[in-house]
Amino acid sequence: MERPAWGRVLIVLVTGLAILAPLGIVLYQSLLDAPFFQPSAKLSLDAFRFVFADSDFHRAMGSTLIVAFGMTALAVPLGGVLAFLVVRTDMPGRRWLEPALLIPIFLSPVVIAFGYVVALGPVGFVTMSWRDAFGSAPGWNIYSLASVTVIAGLTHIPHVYLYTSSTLRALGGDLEEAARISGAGTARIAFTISLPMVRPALLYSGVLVFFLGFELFGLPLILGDPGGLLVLSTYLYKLTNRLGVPSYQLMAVVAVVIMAIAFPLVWLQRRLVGATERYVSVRSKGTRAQPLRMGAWRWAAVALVLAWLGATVLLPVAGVLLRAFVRSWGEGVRLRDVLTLDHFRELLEYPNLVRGVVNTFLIGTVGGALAVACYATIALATHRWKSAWARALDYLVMVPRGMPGLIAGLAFFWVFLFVKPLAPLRSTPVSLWIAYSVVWLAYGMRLISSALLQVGPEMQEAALTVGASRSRITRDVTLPLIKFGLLGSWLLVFLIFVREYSTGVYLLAPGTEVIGSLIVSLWATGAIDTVSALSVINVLLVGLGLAAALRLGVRVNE
Amino acid sequence: MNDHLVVSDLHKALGENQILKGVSFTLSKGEVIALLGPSGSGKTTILRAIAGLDHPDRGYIELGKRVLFGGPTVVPAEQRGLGLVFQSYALWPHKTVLDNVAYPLRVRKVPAAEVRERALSTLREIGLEGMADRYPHQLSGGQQQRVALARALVYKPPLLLLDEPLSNLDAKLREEARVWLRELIERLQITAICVTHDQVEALALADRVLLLENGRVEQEGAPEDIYERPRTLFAAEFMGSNNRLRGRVVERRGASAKIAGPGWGLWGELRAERREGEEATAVIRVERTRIQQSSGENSVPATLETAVYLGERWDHVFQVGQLRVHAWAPAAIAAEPVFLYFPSDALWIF
Repeated sequence: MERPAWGRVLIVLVTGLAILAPLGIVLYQSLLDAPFFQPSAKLSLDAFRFVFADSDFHRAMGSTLIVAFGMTALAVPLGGVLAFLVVRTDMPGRRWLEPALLIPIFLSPVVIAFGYVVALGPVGFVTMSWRDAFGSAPGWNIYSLASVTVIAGLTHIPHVYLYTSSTLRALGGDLEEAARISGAGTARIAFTISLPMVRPALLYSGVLVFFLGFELFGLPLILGDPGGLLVLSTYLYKLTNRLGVPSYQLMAVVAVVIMAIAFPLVWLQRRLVGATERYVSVRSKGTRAQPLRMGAWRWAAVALVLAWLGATVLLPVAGVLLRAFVRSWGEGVRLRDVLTLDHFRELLEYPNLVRGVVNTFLIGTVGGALAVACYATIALATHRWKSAWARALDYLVMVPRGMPGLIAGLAFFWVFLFVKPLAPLRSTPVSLWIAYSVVWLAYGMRLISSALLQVGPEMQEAALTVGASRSRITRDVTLPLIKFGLLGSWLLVFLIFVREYSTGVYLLAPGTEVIGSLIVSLWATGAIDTVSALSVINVLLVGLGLAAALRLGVRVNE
Repeated sequence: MNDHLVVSDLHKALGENQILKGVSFTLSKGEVIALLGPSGSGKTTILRAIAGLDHPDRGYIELGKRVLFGGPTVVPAEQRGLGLVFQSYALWPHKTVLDNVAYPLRVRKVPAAEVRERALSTLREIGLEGMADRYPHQLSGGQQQRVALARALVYKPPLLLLDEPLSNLDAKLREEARVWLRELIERLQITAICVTHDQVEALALADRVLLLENGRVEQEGAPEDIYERPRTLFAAEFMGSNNRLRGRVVERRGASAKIAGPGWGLWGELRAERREGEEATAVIRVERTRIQQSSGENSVPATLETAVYLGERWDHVFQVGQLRVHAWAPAAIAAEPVFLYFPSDALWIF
């Protein structure tokens, strides 16, 4: 097996380059006192000084911390309880509820935010119905820090649910049965046995949600603007507007700050993954334990879960749908009079919008397939390869994880500017695809890895002993066995790419439009009609992808 | 004979599959019974029904004059107060050994000081009080099993249920654990039901064995009864290592009969109703099958096919006509043709 591994080393090097180039250029730019393409730019810490002296930056940092802590405090307990209810109890409807619970992960945050504005904003349809029913305006303000925190918390419950439920499943039901025999009732079992048992998963997903709080962009952008609310990512986004000139060095500094917070969190996450394994030492027998009974609380639980789904999915999606199909909206407008398909017809008149829709679909399908092929190549190259190169790649893969999409898009934009030979690619979807693939590298690799783990080492070893070469084994044994896993990964990558909006923002140019980045830029211009039409198309694409994934039985574990 | 536990006419089906087809038995205080049977015989289902984790479709379960299941009454598992040792031990990984054992007492709202004392004393009983602050993953398999046992005993349940208690232990450990468990049960005068597919385990641990097959009780009795006096072919073949001879009943003389096949004929005890001319199966324990150098009554010529060394004995495989017969000997025999002697009181004809 020890023929020169230059092919694999090459793969690691190329991947490393794709990952470190954007990182490198951001770091480099932050240490200059002017955009890097200006000949007068020289090394200096002025950019850092400027940003750290800016009161808006500190305000943004404060708001980001509040949102991150708040959403974690909301999502972790609720996600844990939800996992317990679905996996361990006899809550009615839990079988069909499960796929529905994961929908919030795949809806684009800009679409969700937009939907909330349409539903719960000052002239939202829920607000106005409330006013009609109760006479006075409801007390909520959709454009506040509290709203952003609550919505962020509610939409991140599925992340906690995913890890906690899969850990609960792995631990088997007989631990709860033992508690029943000892005399404990369902509620007691939940809080003294089941949830403490999955403490590692709760901790892990807590760190994940906190970390995602720093990456929030679409939600605070749309809900934060009217109230002047700033978080780190929107502060970065607005830096261009503030000084009137592209102040790349300041943007780079903010990017470095965000990454400096994100990387330790990513590293912490990795450390926590190992902790879960310790508990799964004695596997239980195959017999399925009976679900715990909840008595009359069953219905309260279902009502609560449905209420959450309604608030997190139905409400914003309904808002988006409504807005897309009405001609105008406001006080005193009656629904029946204003239904129309005009917004969609108008879309067709603008070539950049049409391109955006087509690009989104293409980057999801073709781009997704190519990305999965790349991830598979990298994964297969380093699979069960004990060498420093493989370990290096393991760490390299964590880097894009700590780079939020917005920053990665910016970084790749700079890379294409900086590296002259790559310039023609900048205004083609290829640049977008490269950025997407790098941003989601860790996610894609994890998908492929879990598919590869299903193939026991004996499968490949058996082929070795009868004389097959390594490449033959990959072709004849490994790939066919992970075919289904690859298909599932492709579908999930499709969903992720279609949902994307922040990575494409800085790469937005004639030719690289996608629905997500179009919504972000059009929102600023107030083109609500177009935004709503695009959002509906986006939701449709996501819906089709989800339906296909469910039909094929793809498990959506992140 | 006070019937501490009464189980009557349990039926359970899972979809099309009838798992239990009417199982009834009783248990006295201080008695240990084993539910013995192959996989799919329903023994674990019975245990879980008594524990309250699964409910039968039909039947009656009463413990100490308290109805646990029957008619309108269904007592949930957490209120039955029984002890159950799971096959996988089901120790809570996030709690220490002491906390695992103390948990049932805490649930019963026993005052904290008393909880610690009682849990420690139970741990002392099973010899693990030094491990009180360890976590389950730091213990060996045998130790984990004892902690699971302690947890089930700490609240002195009227009945202890054991699900395949020795199956997760390796062979050497199993021998020791068998003796240790039996001794503990006798010393604490525990009433227990033990589910197992291992006949040696059942014979060693129980006062009475219930042999289950296909959702029904095939035979019930003391271990020696089941082993020496099986009443059905299944019971005969399930216990011990056997030689099986298929043939035809050619003569009957009271309780004895002669069974014969191509090239052989043997007298044995008739254990089932068979008329002359009917097909039948004869079963004899391998340890009763004797190798002899000369012919005699109830013996047949045999040629040696192969011999396997098992340590304490040699397992010889002979050819008798078209049958394969095993016989044991402390040393390997020479390969000349020999005779196999089947004592007629040990040869059971079904």
